[in-house]
Amino acid sequence: MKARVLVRLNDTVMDKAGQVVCQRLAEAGFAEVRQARVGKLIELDIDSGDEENAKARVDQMCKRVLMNASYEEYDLILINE
Amino acid sequence: MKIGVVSFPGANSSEEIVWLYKRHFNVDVDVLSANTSVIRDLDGLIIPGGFSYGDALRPGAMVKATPVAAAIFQFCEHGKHVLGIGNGFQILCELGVLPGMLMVNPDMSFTGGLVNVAVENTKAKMLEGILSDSTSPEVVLKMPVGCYFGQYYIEPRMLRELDNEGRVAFRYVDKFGHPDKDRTFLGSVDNVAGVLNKKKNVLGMMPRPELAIDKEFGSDDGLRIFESFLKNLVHTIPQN
Repeated sequence: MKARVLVRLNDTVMDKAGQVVCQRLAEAGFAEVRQARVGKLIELDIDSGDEENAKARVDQMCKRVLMNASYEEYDLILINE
Repeated sequence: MKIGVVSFPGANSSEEIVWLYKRHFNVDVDVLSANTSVIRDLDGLIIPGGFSYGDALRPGAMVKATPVAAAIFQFCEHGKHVLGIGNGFQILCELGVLPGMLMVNPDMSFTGGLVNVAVENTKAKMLEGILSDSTSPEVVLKMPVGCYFGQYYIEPRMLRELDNEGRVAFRYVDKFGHPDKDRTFLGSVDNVAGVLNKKKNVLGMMPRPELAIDKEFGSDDGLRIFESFLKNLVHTIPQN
C-alpha cells in the first residue's frame, strides 16, 4: 500500500515560497494565478494490507515527525496497489 | 563537572564546542550520539548548530524520530541546563521545549555575518554570568549568524507573555544596542534572537557563540556565553 502525505504551511503562516512562485508565474505570463502554495510530498510504501490500520499509523507519523502541528497541516491519500 | 554535546549527522560545530570546553575551560565533555536513549551524569547539555539530517522536511524534524530526542526532553524537564545554538535552537522548538518556531528567512536566502545582540535578561541564571566582567547593566554581544531558517516567529500574545516573564534572552540590535524599529533582522518577530523556556533552564539562540571566540576573527564575545553556562552549572547543581 502507498500513502501520499502532502504537508503544507497552515493558513496562519505566510507562505513565502508560494508568494514567490505566484509572482514569478505572473511575470512569465500566467497572470491568472491568484495564489500559490508550496508544500512537500512524502510518498510512503507501507507493508500493510489493512487500510484503517495504515491510516492510523500514518496519522501518527504525521503528528510525531512528518509535520509540525503548530504551523503545518497535512492531507493523506492511501493508494491500494 | 561534566557537560554533554549532542552530535547529529550534519551538525557542523560540535567539535568546536568540545574543543572549547576541553582546552579552554578544562571541563570534561561527553559527546552524545543520536542513539543515546538515557542521559546520565551530565550537568549540562549543548545542542550545536548545523543541518542535522540535512534539514530533511524541516530543521530538527528528523531529530524527533531519534532515541536522544526523548532523553533531551527528559533532561530539560528535570531542570538541567541546556543550550541550543542555531540548529540546536530549531531542534528545541521542534521538541516543544522552547516556544515558537524558526522559519525560512524572508528573502529566502542563507544569511551570514556578524550581528549585535542585546542580552535582554541578565538576571536569568543562564545569562547572569555574562555580566561578570562588565559594569554596565546593558550588554551587547557581537556574534555571527549563519542560517537559512532563522526567522523566529511566535504569536503576538505569546510574545507579550515571553517579554513579561523575562524569557526573551537576546534581541538583534545595532552597534549602540538599539533595536531597529523599522526592520527586523532575519524577519524575526520583534528582533528576537534567543528565548528561554518557562523554568529558564533551557536557552535557544540563533547567533553562533562558538564562532566568536577570538578577536582576530571579529569577536570573542561568544566565550562569555559558554563561560556563563559553566558558572551557572556550578551555582545551581550540587557537586558530589
